[in-house]
Amino acid sequence: MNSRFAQDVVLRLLADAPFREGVVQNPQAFGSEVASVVSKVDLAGLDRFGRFLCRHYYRERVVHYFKYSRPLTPLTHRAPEAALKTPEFNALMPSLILGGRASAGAVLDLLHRFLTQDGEAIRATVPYWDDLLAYQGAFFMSDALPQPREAQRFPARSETTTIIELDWDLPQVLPALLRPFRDLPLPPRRPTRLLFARSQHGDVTALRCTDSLKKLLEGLTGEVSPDQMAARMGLDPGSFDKALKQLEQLGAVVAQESFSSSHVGSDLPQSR
Amino acid sequence: MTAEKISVGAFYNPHLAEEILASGNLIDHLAMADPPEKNDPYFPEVRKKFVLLLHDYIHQLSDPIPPHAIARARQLAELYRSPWVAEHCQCVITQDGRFNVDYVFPPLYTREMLARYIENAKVLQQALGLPLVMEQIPRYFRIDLDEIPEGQFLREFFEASGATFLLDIAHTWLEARYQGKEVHSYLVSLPLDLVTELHVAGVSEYSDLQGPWIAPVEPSDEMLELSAWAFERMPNVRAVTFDAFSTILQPGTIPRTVERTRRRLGIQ
Repeated sequence: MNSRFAQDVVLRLLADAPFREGVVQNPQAFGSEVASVVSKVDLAGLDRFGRFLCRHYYRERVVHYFKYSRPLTPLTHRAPEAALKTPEFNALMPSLILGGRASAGAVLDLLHRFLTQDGEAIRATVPYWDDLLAYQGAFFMSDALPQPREAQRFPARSETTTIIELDWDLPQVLPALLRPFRDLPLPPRRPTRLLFARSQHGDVTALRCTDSLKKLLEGLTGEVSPDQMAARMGLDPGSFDKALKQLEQLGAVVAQESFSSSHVGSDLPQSR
Repeated sequence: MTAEKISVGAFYNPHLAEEILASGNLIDHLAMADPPEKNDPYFPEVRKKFVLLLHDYIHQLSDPIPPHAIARARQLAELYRSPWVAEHCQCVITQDGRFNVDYVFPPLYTREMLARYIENAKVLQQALGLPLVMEQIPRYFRIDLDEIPEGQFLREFFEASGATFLLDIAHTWLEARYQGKEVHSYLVSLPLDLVTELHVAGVSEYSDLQGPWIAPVEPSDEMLELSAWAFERMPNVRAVTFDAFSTILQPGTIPRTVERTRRRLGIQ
């Protein structure tokens, strides 16, 4: 067994709590190499460090992605990261895998319950509270790793891509929430659709999503060729290809093998 | 930075930018843990006033560094005009990319790992055209899979790769504590003669760990005392940095700590 493999075993033990528990219960069930690594590790210390890493991992993400809720704490009386110090989060920790989508979903559910419990008073003060949580939650989820999946024949919408529909035009108000304010900044109340995409390097982008972009993404099932899709949408193949490449770079589209990010335009196509 | 003067600085914390800019000549340099936000109104002035050190995550040296990571590091080093770049002695992502602890964690100290670190550090330095400093990382729990002591791993790494040492005093204190070593004896087992940059930092208690760990807080007097003891044994040190980077860092902490550090280490 090489030491890089042994390092990977230790890293998985730290990042994957169900794996850690299984290995501690019965190391031999995971093969002789894993058992050999485990036999040379202080398991109680490893478990404590795993729990520390878990809380740290989600705290970093909650602080980062829910940064707009934080300045509202004097109005809402709950800081988002306080959810990670609750008995509910402690109970959840043994099931969490750092970076996993199911785990991120479970933490987001907990966070949402924490931030909306007895929420009528908050909504009366911050009328766009639910939209704000949806916006931040979409970012939080986009950060999680996609499940490995088989290559598609044609371009397909990525699993980490999310479209959300809001009642308030939140992007108009977000910068103001990070500056000191006396009266709560209010965004315009109008239907707003946003697209969230995670690039292969983990950068998450949010952008306004037009009807045509939504239609394009919904049509990207991996089973329809780009030419067919362009024809369906009434777009010329060149513009359609350019849009796909942009979406690929953002991570909204899982490209087929022949796709290249080397040429990326600066705007999305308009219907002709 | 000049060869004669030892530079004293801190990490750039954007929420404390006004205070940092108003600190007069107290702060010589700023380490950059994150790229500046596009809308950071203070960064242009910060860039003008301070020497900036690239101290971001570039890539773990246990594995070959992909072109996009090198391109990103090059872009940041050029933006900062960084005299050297820093990376941690860490291995935090599995080879298949499925598991990432997203926190500093040291490698196993083996011959195989050493060869990997040396090879990848050489590639990185060549690609960037800049010297590399590498910061040591403490281990919280016992792992009996090392082949050589940490100090030997680090010395051989630096001598073979041409990189130099970024010693973090709080990491040293924690490593000694959790491995049951006397801290001064442990310190002299490290290649202090190869230190370019010294980090001073504090520690806090964490309930999950039932003990102290790395934290963005002021160093205690004991930690500064230990820093001074180590500093006297570092003939080639060029910079001392207060290592604290967090949105919870309170106003006043950076100037006070830099001032205390200057006084205790005798750096004017």
